Amino acid sequence: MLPSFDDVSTTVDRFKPGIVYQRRRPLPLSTPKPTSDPVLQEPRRSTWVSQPPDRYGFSHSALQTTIDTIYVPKSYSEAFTEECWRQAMQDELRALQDNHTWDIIPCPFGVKPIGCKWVYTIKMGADGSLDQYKARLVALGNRQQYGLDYEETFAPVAQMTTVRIVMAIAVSKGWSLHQMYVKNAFLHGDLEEEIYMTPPPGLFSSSSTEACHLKRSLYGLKQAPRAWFEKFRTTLLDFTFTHSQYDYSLFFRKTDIGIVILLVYVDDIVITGSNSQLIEQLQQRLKSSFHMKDLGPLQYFLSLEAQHCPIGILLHQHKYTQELLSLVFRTLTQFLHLWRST
Amino acid sequence: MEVNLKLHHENGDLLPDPSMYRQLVGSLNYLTITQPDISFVVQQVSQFLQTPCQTHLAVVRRLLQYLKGTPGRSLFFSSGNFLQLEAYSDADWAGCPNTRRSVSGWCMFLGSTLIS
Repeated sequence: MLPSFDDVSTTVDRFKPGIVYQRRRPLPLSTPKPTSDPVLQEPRRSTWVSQPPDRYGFSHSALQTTIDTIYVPKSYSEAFTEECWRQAMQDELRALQDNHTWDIIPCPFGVKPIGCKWVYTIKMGADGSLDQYKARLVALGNRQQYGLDYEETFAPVAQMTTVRIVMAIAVSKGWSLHQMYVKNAFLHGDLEEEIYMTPPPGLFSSSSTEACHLKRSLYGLKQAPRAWFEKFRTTLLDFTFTHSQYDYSLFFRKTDIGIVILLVYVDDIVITGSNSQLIEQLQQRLKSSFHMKDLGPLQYFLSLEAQHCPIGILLHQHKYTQELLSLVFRTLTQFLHLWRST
Repeated sequence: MEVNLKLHHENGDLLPDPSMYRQLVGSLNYLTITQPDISFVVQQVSQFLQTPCQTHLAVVRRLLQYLKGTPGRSLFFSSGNFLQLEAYSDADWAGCPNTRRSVSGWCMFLGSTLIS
């Protein structure tokens, strides 16, 4: 197809004859050329070497790696193959027998015993090292029936406001704060209901006719926290302690030489008072009644860390915050799209 | 949380996995024991545990970044404290946009120590 000549004629018309046209030169750049290539120029960086704070005396990453490397078995058959877990189960069974948790009797006709299960975990020391292997026998409380196997399940714990008030009073009066811990706390509770449980795997070759008639509140039972608190309460009332009206888990005892205050949060106990002799006496009495562990002055209570300094006490949750943050930023990489889109 | 930000129900898209949001808010709730400065925000985001939305997660995320940025907050119990109870409270007038209820805040001091 031939080009249309109309277009050509119009272009030619723009150039008038007799006039010398000069070719246009490109305009000079108004901005001066950069002295160097901007890509090559590095920004000045800080020479500061970043390192994690040594607030807790150990690196937090060490704790994570220790937890991640140890395999925790999920069932009895898995745990039975390893010596450390077998030892842990032996310890637990011994504790159960020391507490006289059950009588082994033939199972009555028509009664279906509830099951039980081993739960395994590892305990960490405060410095992030492996403390102990822990095996715990729990009853399957979900098989219990209301009205038949249990009635009330409520158990009071200390309010956080009470914890702070007790600490504020103790610190401002210059009293010493002690912390104690009850080992196997729930096993101290007396059971009022008739509950039968199948013998745990590993105790003996279980025959189908025999069952454990429970005497103590085993872990996992619905009424275990209540039974333990009831036991602890009656024991303290025997020591001529009085309930606080405002918080049921606060006990105190007033004598001529001073006052002792006791605060209980399930199995963690905080003791303070104006007279060290009275505190000592209470600690001895508690030790004779329960399997107690004396943790010395208050340092770490319910993930609250108490830091003593000459003019008072700092109460903080740095460890809890750090663990929460690291957990969040670790797991939420999976949900990264959520974070981007918000 | 940003100043004067009012959170509503059904603010933006629903979260696909609300349990994560619930866990986060529950953990943050325990942190208010020694960090009363975050208690208002935790109260606000706790209102939406049933149907959390993206905007609510954004608030939680901002709170986490605040926690990360300001470590070392703690309660101080000073010794030699004069035990006198002081209490302050305040309420905004029908501040909640959903229910038109008032949100009240308070703080109580025993001497110089914050207890509640």
